[in-house]
Amino acid sequence: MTHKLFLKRGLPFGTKAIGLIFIIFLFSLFHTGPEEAFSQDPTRVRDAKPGNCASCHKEQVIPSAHPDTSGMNLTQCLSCHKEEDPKLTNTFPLSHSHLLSGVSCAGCHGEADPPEFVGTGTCLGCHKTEDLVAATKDVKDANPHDSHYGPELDCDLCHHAHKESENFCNQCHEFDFVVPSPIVKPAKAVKRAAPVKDAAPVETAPKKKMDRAPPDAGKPEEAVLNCRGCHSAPEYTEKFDRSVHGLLACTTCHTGIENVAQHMKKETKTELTPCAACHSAISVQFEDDVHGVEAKMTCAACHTDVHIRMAGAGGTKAAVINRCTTCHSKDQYVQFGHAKEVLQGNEDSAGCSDCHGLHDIAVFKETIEDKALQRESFMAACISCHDNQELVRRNNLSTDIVESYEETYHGKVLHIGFPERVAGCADCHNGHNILPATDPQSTVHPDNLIKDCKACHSGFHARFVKFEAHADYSNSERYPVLFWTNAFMIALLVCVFFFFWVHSILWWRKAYWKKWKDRGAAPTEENIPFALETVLYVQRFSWRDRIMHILLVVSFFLLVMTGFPIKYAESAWAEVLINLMGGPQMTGLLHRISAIVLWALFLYTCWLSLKFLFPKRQVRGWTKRLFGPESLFFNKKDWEDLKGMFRWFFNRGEMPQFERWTYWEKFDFFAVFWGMFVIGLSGLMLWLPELFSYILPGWMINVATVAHSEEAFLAAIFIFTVHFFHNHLAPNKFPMESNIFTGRYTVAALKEERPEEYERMIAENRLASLERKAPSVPSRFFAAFVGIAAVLLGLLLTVLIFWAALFY
Amino acid sequence: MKEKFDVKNGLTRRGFIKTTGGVALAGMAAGSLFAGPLKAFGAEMPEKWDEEFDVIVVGSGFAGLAAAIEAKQAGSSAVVLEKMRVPGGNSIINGGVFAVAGSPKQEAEGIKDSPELLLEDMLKAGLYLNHVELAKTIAEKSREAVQWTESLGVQYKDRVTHLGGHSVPRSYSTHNSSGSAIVTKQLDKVKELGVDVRTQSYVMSIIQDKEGRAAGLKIKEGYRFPDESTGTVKYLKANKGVVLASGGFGRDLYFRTIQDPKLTENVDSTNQPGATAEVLMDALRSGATPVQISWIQLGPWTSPDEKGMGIGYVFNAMAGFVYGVMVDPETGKRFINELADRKIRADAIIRLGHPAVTIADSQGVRRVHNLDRALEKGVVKKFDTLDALAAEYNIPPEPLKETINAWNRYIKQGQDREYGRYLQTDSEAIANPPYYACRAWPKVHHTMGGIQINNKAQVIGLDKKPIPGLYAAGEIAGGVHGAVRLGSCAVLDCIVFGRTAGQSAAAKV
Ligand SMILES: Cc1cc2nc3c(=O)[nH]c(=O)nc-3n(C[C@H](O)[C@H](O)[C@H](O)COP(=O)(O)OP(=O)(O)OC[C@H]3O[C@@H](n4cnc5c(N)ncnc54)[C@H](O)[C@@H]3O)c2cc1C
Ligand code: HEM
Ligand code: HEM
Repeated sequence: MTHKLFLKRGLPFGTKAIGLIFIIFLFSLFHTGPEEAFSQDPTRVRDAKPGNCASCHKEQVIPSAHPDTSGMNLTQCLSCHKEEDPKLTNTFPLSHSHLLSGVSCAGCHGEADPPEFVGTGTCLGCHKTEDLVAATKDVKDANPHDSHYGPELDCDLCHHAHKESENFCNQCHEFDFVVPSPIVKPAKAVKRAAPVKDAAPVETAPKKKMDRAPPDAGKPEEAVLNCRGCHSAPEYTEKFDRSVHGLLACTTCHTGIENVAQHMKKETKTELTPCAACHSAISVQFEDDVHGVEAKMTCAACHTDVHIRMAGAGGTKAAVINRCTTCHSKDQYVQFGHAKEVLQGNEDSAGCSDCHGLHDIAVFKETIEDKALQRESFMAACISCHDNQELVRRNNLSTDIVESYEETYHGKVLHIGFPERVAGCADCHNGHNILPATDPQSTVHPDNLIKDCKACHSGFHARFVKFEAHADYSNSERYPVLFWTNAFMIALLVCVFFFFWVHSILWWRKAYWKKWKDRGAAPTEENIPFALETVLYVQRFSWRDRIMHILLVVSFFLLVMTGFPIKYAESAWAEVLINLMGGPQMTGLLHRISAIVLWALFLYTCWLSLKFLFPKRQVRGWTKRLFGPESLFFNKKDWEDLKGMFRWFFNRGEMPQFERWTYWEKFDFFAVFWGMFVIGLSGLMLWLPELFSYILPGWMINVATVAHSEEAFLAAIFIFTVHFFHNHLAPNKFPMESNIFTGRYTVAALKEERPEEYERMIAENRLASLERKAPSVPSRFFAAFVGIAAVLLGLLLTVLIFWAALFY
Repeated sequence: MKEKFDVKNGLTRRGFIKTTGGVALAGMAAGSLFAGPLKAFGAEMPEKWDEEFDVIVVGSGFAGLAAAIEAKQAGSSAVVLEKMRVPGGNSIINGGVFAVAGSPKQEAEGIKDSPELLLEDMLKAGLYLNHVELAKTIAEKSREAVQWTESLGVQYKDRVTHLGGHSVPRSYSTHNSSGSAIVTKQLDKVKELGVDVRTQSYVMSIIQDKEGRAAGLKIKEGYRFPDESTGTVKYLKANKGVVLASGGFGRDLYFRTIQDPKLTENVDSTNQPGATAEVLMDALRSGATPVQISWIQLGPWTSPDEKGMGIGYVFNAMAGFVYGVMVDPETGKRFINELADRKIRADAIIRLGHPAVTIADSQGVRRVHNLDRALEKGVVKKFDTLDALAAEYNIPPEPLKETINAWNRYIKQGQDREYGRYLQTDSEAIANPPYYACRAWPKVHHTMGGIQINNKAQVIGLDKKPIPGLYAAGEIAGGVHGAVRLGSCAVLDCIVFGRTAGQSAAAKV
């Protein structure tokens, strides 16, 4: 592209030089490619019609209610807009005022493609230096067109055609004048352009409600005066002038009067500019507002004061209440509770719009989805105040009402994504008489609660409503049973973990320390098992045991993975996990199915235990069997072994000689028994609370929640740390003990781990009958796979659980 | 080359010639590639020059325009390069006072003066660091210089002004109290002569040929100050010479804090934003000798209540310092000769640690042409009584009144017994309300140092010889003013050496 210069001869030197540079500058702009310079919105269209915004702007740039501009010129704009109207001076560039004055793009840029470049010479083709000097001679502070730089400066120093103009002088001076970007009315004495901030009071009003320019923000004096000749009431005159709309002309909103005479004869019908023309955001909201949708109300139905409304007027909660209750019954809505409190002067309390919204009062249908939405929207409203510690303290309200709700079954389950099914605040605190529970008028007064609960629950005993919707475990006075249940569970947890973690650590230390000491030592006869023993397998677990264990593993994992997201509903992973498993419905179902499996296993184990104790209904000798070597019940040897183990940990003796079941294996077994008692029963209560209300008071559900939750923690963490240590991480087991899956292990292992059993087998001459083939490759593979997967999953869950417990 | 290839080891003559010839040619080629121009950095010689002129002038202030006029009038083609969007540099915003020794206007007022006295004043203020030859030159040529401007059509006020540091009133004042009165006439002349003043042309580097001669410039056209990324590179050839007239560096925060680390961004400046050091630095890189670059002058008369030069300084310089007094608001006492040279005054104010207050009465302000505006902007304030004035600036009123009474006594006695300040012939007692006051706090105003030139405006290199083709004038050149430039001597310096530089370049001296 060649850079041709197009300056006319005989221009002032500055113009010429600067023009030249400017041209080169502009050329280099175009040089980067016309696409780049012109590709954004607006696209510069050369033959755009002056008033037709849409020819360049894709987006709506003037209010939709603005009269059609496509045929307009600048004079017509100025018939409504004031010359210094900030809406024009600040938003529309010099190029536009040129276009609207009949100077097309080509008028400055020429017909060529790419467009020619405009320098001061071009400007001076129409604007005469002397005129400019004269036009601004009275500008305060200095005449920008005739300074110590002379009258022949490059226009572009200050005026930019396609971007905001600048005040060149003020890089050294502090002059007050504003370089007007666009609106120029040649041949008219210059009035000082009002500084933007003074001219736009509506925009700087404290709450910005208007988001678009009024259709014609100017106030053409004559038009207003004409109207006021007849419409002279104060609300159209002095009060109007002071109002927020006072800058507008009557005809901004009342359109259609073309001929005043006709109008006075009532021959023309005036139309109203929709409020949406300026208040577009609100009007978009209002399109979905219940008042708009169902009652078909318009803005004016509530805003009856458009002519006199002052900036910052209204806006109080009381004002809103008073406005709403012009239609909505006072008796029903403002006699009690929040509204009454507001009217008594407490701005902390909630007015109508705080809960319902103002222009966005949603329409909720009777569908379950809408119910959920409604529930959540009200909850958000309640929480926004009741979780504000300063506010609740100030008003003597309970400081943990939200937190304690979230601790309950309702709170947790709702949190995890069940707003469809679970009670939120407004389900119990419904209606407008929201009062303390002690007030008989209150919906949460015990007498009224049954009705609330019935909304979701059915078939319960009256005791059911004794459920504590905001239980606080730390309050021993109000909720002693809860408090002590919680305390007991925590104590149990601490004891169990303290004991077993210490036990495991000591064991680990001892075993590795021993290994370390023995490293490199030549194998002695003692530590090389007899070769045959290492390939001879004996049976430890029957098919039945193995299947039970696998069922136990699967159901246990499912229970943990579907239960813990509820326990730690707020944690980062809760929702992820729930969704991974198929959503809250699915996890609920899985939890229940797994619970049934676990119950079945439990009951079957009870049955087997009975069979073991009373073989063929024979009662005699049951104590012997109960405390005998084959039993899973604790006996005296366990106590001795425990002590022996600790002696061994501290190098005070050999490792005890175990029988078929070690004490920790017995503990594992009983953990399930105890666990089933606590977790199974409480789980059932949570599953069928209504049913249990016939036996137990409603607050037992709270107790059940605590017990279930804490026991779940105990069980999960115990299995994933202690049980896994014993069977996978313990030095002699690492990476895993697979006999629970394969059913068999070597004689060498039997001899080493359970020497007394071995001796007993030999003595009873039963070893041969237990002898089995080595486990098949598939079964080994299966064992390894399930075992390792379980360990990894368990450890992952442990991490998640601790993460949630510590950080949420 | 001869020595290198003077081989004498048994080659036959023919062989010798053949071999030597070949090697010598190769050597020459290598020499031009590697030995080449002395400098190892700066802009390389371009493959092709975009344009050529006899004389290229850098900077469109007094000095640059004077040089361009002279060069063109001596028959050379010339161009003026200016990086800003407007011409004129500091010159067009300057206060338009012009020192002339022994002028007709002085004669009319009966003021005795001579070039020797001006030189003495300059040396005294300059702490005798001045390069006397240069200072002497401008002192001697002051009448000629002002007449030259008058021949361009510049108009001056009738009365001469007495500026600080001058022993007598001697400064001409342009009719509009602005250097623009001179610059615009210079610009008219330049235009009339057909010399282009190209704004937005940023000089990046001086290009020297292998002899070190300034052969041309690497510039950027279409530069938009201060955006470094703008503009396109061009190479301009200077057949006769390059005149550096790019002014001072008062607004170059980097370079000025290197020279005087006290002058951080917290110190304002009266200068135009383009008063930066890149041309000076490039001249140093090209081998010019630096002179006293760390002597940076602060103007003592500026007000902290407005930005840049502002308008309050007129009150201080024309009223407060001349007909009034300047006091320390903490004590209410004078603390310095209000007409001492700029450095002494600026240093004294800075030593106070807070702005000083200058005071004059309604008689004293009669020469303050912009009084109304200064009052309106609130830079100068007006008071009916001295008590009100004292209250406004938190000055203890009794000591203040005592100071003013003392000053009024000195006027009667015809001698400032405290600081020996020169008394104006038309001085009157400060006793005619209303009283006016303005605060004074120094701002960076002038950079005395720069590159070394001789009386022909040739730039002297580090090899003690003039750098061929390189000339300098105006604020970029050092030595004329020594440690302190006296007010109104810069215009004089710029005009005298600007013209000299133009003549020298055109004559290729
Ligand atoms: C506010 C003010 C008032 C003053 N009042 C007086 C007074 O009354 N009397 C008096 O004697 N002195 C006064 N001075 C001092 C005097 O004005 C200056 O010393 C004088 O103007 C310097 O002239 P100059 O030609 O050397 O440089 P300038 O007038 O500063 O011109 C240099 C030009 O070179 C340009 N330039 C710089 N770098 C480059 C580059 N890389 N490429 C291209 N162009 C470049 C600059 O933008 C500038 O336009 C005043 C100074 C100031 C700031
Ligand atoms: C030759 C180039 C220029 C042209 C064609 C031009 C054009 C105009 C026009 C037409 C007006 C409107 C005057 C009126 O109301 O009639 C105006 C106002 C103005 N111009 Fe320029 N101008 C030029 C250069 C500049 C420069 C360089 C500056 C900055 C120093 C500048 C600053 C202003 C200011 C501040 C006003 C508004 C004064 C006021 O009304 O308060 N103009 N100009
Ligand atoms: C077109 C824009 C400008 C206008 C209209 C303008 C106007 C004026 C006017 C009217 C004065 C007289 C003093 C006064 O009343 O304030 C003045 C002085 C001055 N201007 Fe500007 N100016 C402009 C740009 C600049 C710029 C960009 C600079 C700095 C680079 C500048 C620096 C000065 C200085 C230093 C003075 C004081 C000169 C003196 O009185 O000694 N001006 N200007």
